[in-house]
Amino acid sequence: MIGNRRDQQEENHLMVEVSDLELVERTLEGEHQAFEVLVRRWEGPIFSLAYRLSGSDEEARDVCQETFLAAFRHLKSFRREAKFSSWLYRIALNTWRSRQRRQPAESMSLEEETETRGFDPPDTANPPDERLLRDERAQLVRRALAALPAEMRQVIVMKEYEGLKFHEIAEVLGIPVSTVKTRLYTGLTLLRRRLEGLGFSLGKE
Amino acid sequence: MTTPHQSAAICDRRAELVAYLYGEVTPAEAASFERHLQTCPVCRAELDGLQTVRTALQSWEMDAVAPRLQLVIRPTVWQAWREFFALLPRWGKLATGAAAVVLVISLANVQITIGPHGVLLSTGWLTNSETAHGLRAPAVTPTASGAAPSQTPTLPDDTVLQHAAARLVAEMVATQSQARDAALEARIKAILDARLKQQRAELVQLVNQLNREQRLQLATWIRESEQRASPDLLDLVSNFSMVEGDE
Repeated sequence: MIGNRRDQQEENHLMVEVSDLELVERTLEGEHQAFEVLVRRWEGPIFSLAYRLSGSDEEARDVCQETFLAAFRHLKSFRREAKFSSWLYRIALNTWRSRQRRQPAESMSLEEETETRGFDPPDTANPPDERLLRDERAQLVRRALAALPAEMRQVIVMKEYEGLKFHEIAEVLGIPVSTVKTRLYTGLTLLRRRLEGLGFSLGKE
Repeated sequence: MTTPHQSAAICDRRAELVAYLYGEVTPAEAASFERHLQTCPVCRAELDGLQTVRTALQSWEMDAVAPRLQLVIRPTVWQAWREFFALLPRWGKLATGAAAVVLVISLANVQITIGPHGVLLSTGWLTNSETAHGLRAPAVTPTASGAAPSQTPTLPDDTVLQHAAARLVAEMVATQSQARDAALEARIKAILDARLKQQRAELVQLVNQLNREQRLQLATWIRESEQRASPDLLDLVSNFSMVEGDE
């Protein structure tokens, strides 16, 4: 809990200088503040991953929350040979998949979701036409991605949006690098067909 | 005419193509694949196609703001104890540690042996041999002394006494353990209550900074979080980033 300035300074120090592994050790020793630093450090990427996968910020927030709670509960089972972030990504993917299985009927379609969002701040930097066009293209991409099989969507999201290396994705999913490449290739090819099917003008960029 | 999708079956260098597409190749591999591209129109078309898909993917910019999560985790008794211990001053740690060691040693050495001579009980403050000797002696004596009729009835009495003593001590140990747990629970509860109170105050302060629309949104989230009952989770509040002063 952030109580006073000294705590804040301590947290800043932890945030910048201490490795994930050391923070894990400290959490296991009972220092809950160390886990809070891990949450601060990784909540952005985990939320981003969940948002790109689900297309809903509400769902992404829930996945994010469940991921960190699960990570805290099972911190003892974290094996030091893997990166903490890989372990966390894996938990997030499992959480997302199990939520998908658990509540397929409750999940909101992308169309409905777009209607209910309505929180986007007005974009003053771009003229309305250009913004509309861009939003429309983004919308098509979201739909095409959402229609991909989960195993390909995961790989594409981790590579394209999270910028993970092939070997990192392989570590997260526990599969060989060659399989990662195959899934990526197949996923991109499928996506291309879907985008073309949705009328996305791939030639004009 | 060959389409790019059909072409993959013709030229089987997908792995290299994907690696090249994302720039995860050594300079030598890149040069090698570029030489291949010059002679393979199929791979050239495939590369172009995948690059346009990548460009399309980038048109979906990140349009959601990551929340600043606040996880409130109910610690286990052991975790709470460790945290409590960490908060104590040095002398407090030493005193508490010493008391805990004494308690553990005295409890750890409690030994109840059920054998042909009855129930034997020893504690950490007596050695096993002393205890064994002290408790066995009366049971053995009657047999060794030729079993005088007047002494015979004392045998079951001693055994009953030993049973009763063992039961009494076992009960005392259990009570002691319960009392220790209760004291620990009370201390933990006090710490958690204080923390909850502090969090409530902070929350009220934050809510006061929200406008009407944001309050309504917050109310919705709170309702939702109440519906999702989770034993380990007291509550989770996702704060607006602007309320946190991150702007």
